[in-house]
Amino acid sequence: MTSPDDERSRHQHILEEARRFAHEEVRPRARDFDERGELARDLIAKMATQGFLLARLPQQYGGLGLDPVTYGLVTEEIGKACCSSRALMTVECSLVGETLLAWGTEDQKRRWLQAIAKEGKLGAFALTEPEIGSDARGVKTTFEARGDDYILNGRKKWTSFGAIADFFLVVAMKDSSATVFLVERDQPGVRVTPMKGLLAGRAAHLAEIELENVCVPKDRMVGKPGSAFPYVVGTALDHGRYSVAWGGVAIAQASLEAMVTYARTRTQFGQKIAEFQLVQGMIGEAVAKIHAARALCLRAGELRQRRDPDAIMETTIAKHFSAQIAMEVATDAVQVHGGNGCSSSYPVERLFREAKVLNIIEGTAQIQQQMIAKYGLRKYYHRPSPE
Amino acid sequence: MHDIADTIRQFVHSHLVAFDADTKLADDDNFFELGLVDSPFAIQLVAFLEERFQIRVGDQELDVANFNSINRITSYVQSKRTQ
Repeated sequence: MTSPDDERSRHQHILEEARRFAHEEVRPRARDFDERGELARDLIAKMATQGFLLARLPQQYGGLGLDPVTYGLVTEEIGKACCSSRALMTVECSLVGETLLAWGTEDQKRRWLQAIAKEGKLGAFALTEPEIGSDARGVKTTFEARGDDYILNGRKKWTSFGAIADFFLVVAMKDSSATVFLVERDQPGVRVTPMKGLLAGRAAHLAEIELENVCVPKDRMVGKPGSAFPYVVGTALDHGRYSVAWGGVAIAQASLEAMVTYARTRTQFGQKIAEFQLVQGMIGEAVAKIHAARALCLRAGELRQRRDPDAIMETTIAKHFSAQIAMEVATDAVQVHGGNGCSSSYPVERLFREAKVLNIIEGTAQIQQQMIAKYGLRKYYHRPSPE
Repeated sequence: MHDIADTIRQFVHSHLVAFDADTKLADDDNFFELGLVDSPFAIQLVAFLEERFQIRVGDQELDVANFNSINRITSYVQSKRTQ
């Protein structure tokens, strides 16, 4: 039995190791990953060995057992160095790992979480389809019972790490009721097509997945029949939003550091551009926005640690805000860099592209606004007093 | 029994998404079908029940039918606490 002090010390050590790992092993290769359109397998293997792929999950399943706040801070460190490496953590730990932890049977947890942690396997979360994005409850992929098995048919799209994943959590529909199934990549009827020509996430191995009469044994159902909405998918997206919220802080922080460094070294009109007040305006705004976004993420993390019912909305707010400010700060970082900011020789060009995606994944900004508005409309309503 | 129902009723009513302040919800009403709660509510409710009543909602028990009205939630919590 470890003491709370020992546990805090362990978490701090992991965070410091993540910082070192990001700086030495990830950041120097981020541009190369983006240009080649893939994360290197050796890096993925190292992240698994370090425990980062399932950092938040209990140690008994191969995770690091991090509390939500430390997990968020680790996510920020990796995300500052490389957005696609952060995306790998989001998919493996938050979308796949947390979902199996919450809804999987004990056998499923032991088999598939261990596979990620120890066997070099990857999972992916297959919800979105060619015609279905925000309207997730309208998925067209179907399942039907056949004896003790289920037969799946349909197409998934935008599946992060789908191109290299060994198994997928697939959301499928029957009679307007959705269920989640674990489908292995090498099952007959599964076809995976990597997606190219992307604005961002170029190294996140996005793929289309076609399922044609794929036969899934009944023990591969995740959760109860019909439990995909609101429970299983809701859990996945909630954890995904928490991870992406920190990903937004990461992009904004990396953009700020690049902007500050450039402003203090670039000379125009005989002085460093950091001395120009209009440049300082952008830096000042960036600092304030990032501090606010990080505070929201920390608050969400603390509520998640306490399993507070408000955690889900505070996470949504943190994700929405950090995604917004990531785009704003990355835009200003490009502006401070001028023409150089439009070149892949400088990381802000990549950060600018990656920031845009955060406003779309795990709930578009507009869907988030609606959720937050409904929360506000009920939380801050005071019935008018009679005259 | 009444304490449990009152606590659940208060939580559900505080999470209704209804622009009409006079919206009524009876204890037997299915708030999901009536569209009176938003999508995160189902998971928020489970977190609330586990924290407030110190129970563990098993993954095989998580059927919307157990949690779609104040009366059904109350019955569920009672059955968990007598186990």
